[in-house]
Amino acid sequence: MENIPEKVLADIVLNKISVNFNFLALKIMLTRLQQKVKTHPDPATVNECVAEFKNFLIKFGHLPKTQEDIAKIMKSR
Amino acid sequence: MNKVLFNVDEVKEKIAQGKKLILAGDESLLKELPKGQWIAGTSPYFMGENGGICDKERIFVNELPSWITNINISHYDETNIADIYKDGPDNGFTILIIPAFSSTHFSFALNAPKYDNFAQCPLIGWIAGVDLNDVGKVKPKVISGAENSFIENGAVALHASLPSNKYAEINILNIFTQGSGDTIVFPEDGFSAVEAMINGQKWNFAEYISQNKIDTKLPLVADYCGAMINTSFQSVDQAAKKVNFYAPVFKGMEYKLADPVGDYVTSFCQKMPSESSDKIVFACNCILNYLYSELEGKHTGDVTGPFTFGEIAYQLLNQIMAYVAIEDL
Repeated sequence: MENIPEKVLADIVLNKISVNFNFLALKIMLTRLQQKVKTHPDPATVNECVAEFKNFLIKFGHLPKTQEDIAKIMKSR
Repeated sequence: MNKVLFNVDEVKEKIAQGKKLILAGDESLLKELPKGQWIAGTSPYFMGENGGICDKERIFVNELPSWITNINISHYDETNIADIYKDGPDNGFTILIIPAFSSTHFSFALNAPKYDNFAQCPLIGWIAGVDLNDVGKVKPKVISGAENSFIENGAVALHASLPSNKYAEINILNIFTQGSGDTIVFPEDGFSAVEAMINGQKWNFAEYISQNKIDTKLPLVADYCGAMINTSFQSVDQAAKKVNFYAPVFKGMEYKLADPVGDYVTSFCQKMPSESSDKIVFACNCILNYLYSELEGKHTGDVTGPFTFGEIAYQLLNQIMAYVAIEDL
């Protein structure tokens, strides 16, 4: 998890990279973050959303679908 | 298929045995039940063991597995519903029931994505309703079996902890997909809309629907990173030039009208969850699917549950089946 560059996470939050995630909670949570940075694209908001995305992946990293989703993020680099 | 519809005496016996229950039924039946480890919402529509049915003589029973030993039943209202995700167990899930048309319903629908820990607790549930002939005359209610309290404006939740070798997974089954037509964006969050940007051009949304002869039985669909999320039309008020929805539209989200679906049951069964129905501990389906797809007497595979005035899978959704399965780690 710590190996994922923050830039990749930021690109996903900023919708510059599209990843076909499996985990429903991740899809719904990430969409909220993407809408938030779309409305407030300032660096502080982007950093806050990237941190929330990363913390979500860490919290649920033990679940099979999250592990699949992390693998997809790594492939998207 | 397992029996899921029971008479009041049978449900009383389950309560006396200490079973942990999620119930749906007519208010007159739920009022007869004693205190116990249960929560309930009013609805007379069910996908039962013999197919879709409107039944005011029996109660739909979801019995949680006996190895779920640690539960906590809580009551919420507008002042504390924002804690719903924080209150979930470290490993488990929460079932939430809210009465339709209550201010708690509207508040949760609009604000849940802004609550602390949003989507960080497996949250599933439904919006309680009434017989469609009684809408406006009888208020939907939810009930905490722990207190035997009937709530018109508030919510009840059952937080269930799981052993460390298991986890809860929430999913949805949506037969609707985004059509290839116009992209619709709304300027504000809300359960109603006057204006919308259609492919970047401002329209009165009611006029757009009228001029384009839009079939409002089909929902708006937004793409949530690959999850198709519906917002259903409630009514189009041409006099007020306003469109009302069963869930809020969100500012800036891109919506498209859904592609038409042929046969609901066929489409549903084609998209049936890969999880075996044995692993599904709770499911609910939208009353609009019951009505528009004429599900009375028909089956949706092996999945049973109440038909509801809104579904909750992390947030309020429409025209979908929501379910929670318990998987092994």
